[in-house]
Amino acid sequence: MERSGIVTSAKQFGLGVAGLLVITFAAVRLDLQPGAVSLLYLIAVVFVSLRAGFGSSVAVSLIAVFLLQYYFVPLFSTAGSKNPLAIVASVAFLVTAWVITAMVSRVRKMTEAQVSVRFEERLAERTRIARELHDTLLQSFQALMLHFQSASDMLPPGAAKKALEEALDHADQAILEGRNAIQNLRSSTTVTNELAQAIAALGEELGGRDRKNVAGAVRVSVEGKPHELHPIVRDDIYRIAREALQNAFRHAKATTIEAEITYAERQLRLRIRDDGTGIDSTVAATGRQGHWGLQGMRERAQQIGGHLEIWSQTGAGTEVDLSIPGTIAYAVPSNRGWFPLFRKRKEGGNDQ
Amino acid sequence: MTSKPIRILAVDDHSLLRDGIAKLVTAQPDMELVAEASNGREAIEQFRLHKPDITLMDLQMPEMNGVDAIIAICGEFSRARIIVLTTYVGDVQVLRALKAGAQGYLLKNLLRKELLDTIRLVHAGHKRIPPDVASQLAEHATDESLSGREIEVLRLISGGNANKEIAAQLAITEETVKGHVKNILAKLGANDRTHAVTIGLKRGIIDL
Repeated sequence: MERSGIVTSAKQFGLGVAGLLVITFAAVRLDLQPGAVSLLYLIAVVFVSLRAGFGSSVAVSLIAVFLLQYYFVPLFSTAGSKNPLAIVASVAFLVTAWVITAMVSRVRKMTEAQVSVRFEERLAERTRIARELHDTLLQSFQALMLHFQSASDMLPPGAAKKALEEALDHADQAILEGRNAIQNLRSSTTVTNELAQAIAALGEELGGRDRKNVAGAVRVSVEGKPHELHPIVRDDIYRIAREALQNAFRHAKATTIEAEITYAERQLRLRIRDDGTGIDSTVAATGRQGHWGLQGMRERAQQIGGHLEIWSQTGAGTEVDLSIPGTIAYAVPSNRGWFPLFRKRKEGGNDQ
Repeated sequence: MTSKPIRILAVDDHSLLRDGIAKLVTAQPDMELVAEASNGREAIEQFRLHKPDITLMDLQMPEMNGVDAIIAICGEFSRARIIVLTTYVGDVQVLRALKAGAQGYLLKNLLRKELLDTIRLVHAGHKRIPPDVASQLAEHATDESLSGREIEVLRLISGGNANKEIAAQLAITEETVKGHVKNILAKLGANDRTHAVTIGLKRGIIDL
């Protein structure tokens, strides 16, 4: 498991234990019934199970059961008597926690499946647009070229004919570019699936173009094992990165730019930091119309089920933080299969 | 060169393009446009009627496509000389057209410069394939080609169908579809489904 995965897991575990302690403390102070206490425990356990890994969920559940068994149940039993219901209650508690967690994660999976259906729809839409452009614009231009040529053939040799022929040659070139663009349904710039490489290349392109003398390189670092990305998500991530780097180079006049890609099991995270002039924090939060493209970046992130945060202050640089759930970002989703009973086989569609 | 003009049949579903060809051709003293057709079926009828020396044939047309029309015409008239007109340099498409019996291949963006020469060359009994089309052919000459089913699956992928929908439409299981997709990716050397569609379009395995 990656370091970041362990870190989040440990964090969730800590939060879970803290939650249990708060509930226990409150229960003792407020004299809550065991029923109410176990309900609160249940909420805490489900909360942790949904976010943390298998280990921490089991640990938190066991702590909850332990507290119930040895602290609350004796409190309400007459001294010395053994309560036979305790074991039944513990089992019921664990099963309930498991069922609720499984149901919630199932609903989540279904939402994610819907997102992947949207990707297929977008691919179909692109093909449709390409077909439309091919059938109308491209065909008509190709035909018009013949008409122009026959007009040119009627002209006597001279400056006019030469100018027309030159214009026609340029038009040939333009039509060829149009044809290639139509043929390349996916963005031609992201031919590599290696996000780090793509971003480094982007940095060279943007930096080289805007600041001729300074080596406008972006320092790219990768954490975790790179996953294959879903093609359409990859395009969107690439466009967001492009916008962020463009802002850094063009508007913020940054000299150092760092891009950090984290392939965690649960999410893909891309952070781009610069030491430029920064953005006014209110603009960063709301995104001024038509400037910086911040709103566009946010919308693009939302569209693919991700989340984008921008931290900046005038004079203090900018950090753009994009995170996308792993189930959406990765072409082959990393499955955490600990509810095999409730996990339906992965829906077809975005598998490779 | 014979004194009789070369009699030409132009087949394309875009009337603007047929008009353009007509303008270019009729300006030549050694050529004559005898008929036009806007799909494969009409092309066969017009060919029977006029027996042209040269047929200019678009590939993507409604009702009956160019390749089917070429097969039908060449089956009936073994001496037919057909030049394919197309937008894309796709090796699979070229191969299909040549196997069907076409003698010439012409990209639409080269029409204005090369149409007349190509017509004369093919009429004189030569074959004519542009250099970049020929190099495309050479590049994929040894590739393993997709099976009919795999082409069908690729076409459905390009239509934005998920594996489940493809399975339903072809009345096969989703597992089988997955197997086909895997083979398609391997044979085309594609990274993913979108890439496979792009390659399929480029090489003329599927049409837009």
